[in-house]
Amino acid sequence: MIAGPGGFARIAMNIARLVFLSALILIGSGVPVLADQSDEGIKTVLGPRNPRLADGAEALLDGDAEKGIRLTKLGLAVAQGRRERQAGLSNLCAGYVMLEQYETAIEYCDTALEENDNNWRALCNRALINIHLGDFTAAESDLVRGEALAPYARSLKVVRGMLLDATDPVQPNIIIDDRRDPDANDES
Amino acid sequence: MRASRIGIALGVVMLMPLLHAEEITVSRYIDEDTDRIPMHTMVPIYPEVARRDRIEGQVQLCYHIDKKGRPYRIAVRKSTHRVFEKPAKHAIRASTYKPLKAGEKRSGIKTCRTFRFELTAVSAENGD
Repeated sequence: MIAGPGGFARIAMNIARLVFLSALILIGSGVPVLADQSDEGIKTVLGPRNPRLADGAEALLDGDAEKGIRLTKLGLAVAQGRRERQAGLSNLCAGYVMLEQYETAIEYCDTALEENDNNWRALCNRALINIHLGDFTAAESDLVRGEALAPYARSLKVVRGMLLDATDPVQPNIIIDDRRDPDANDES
Repeated sequence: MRASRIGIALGVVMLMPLLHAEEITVSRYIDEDTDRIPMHTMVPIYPEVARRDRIEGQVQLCYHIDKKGRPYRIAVRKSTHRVFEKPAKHAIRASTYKPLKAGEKRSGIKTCRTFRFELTAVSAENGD
């Protein structure tokens, strides 16, 4: 089934919100660390371990995708460990979604998932991209996998709703019933 | 007679509530012999989370109406899902009834309004 223009408008409207959520993974890379205090004169500094990755994610959260991508790439170049790398790749995927460069975005999501196929955020981002690209089967597959990993994740629920809107759209209908007997037959 | 109490179905009207960016269908039912005549009726928004998760339900609120036609002491009488209670209460608070004339007395009976939140499937090809 093909989503109507209204459906895609809603999808586009939700993209920024979703990217916002996806970019939160950055917080994981911003774990405060304590510098070694064994040597005199070394100050203890609290802050993110990878400042560029953290700043990149902050820029994404602020809606500045280009700055976010640039900083995230710089942070990714000096990423320490699998966790930081995964966060960087996932955020790049989110950043390119914000720029509506879905082909590039999906490549970063794929890379993030190659490194860790349990990365539900990357699955969520990829599902979103697949919805936008009209591949609802792939989106469903990513969502099912993501929901198995994080059944209560809000961003997955949002994307699930977007997929439903694309495949099975609904229109809200509100009935205001002032009758004393509201259970009476509505077809009167 | 129950049939006479069923009242008038005012039909289905299409409107674009300011609080909601999409089309919403509103149906309204009212008794002919109602004590207080509604003047301004606020339509509640369909909660986005409920729409997203395809949740339907209904809320019945009962309240008093003062001389000026403003509802007060609004209480939830029946509710199938809490997500609908807040928008329903907000809609009642923002609604008004025809004020009483000078010397006209209130019946003292509570008024109740039921909001039913439903989702109707629309074709994907047509969008919404």
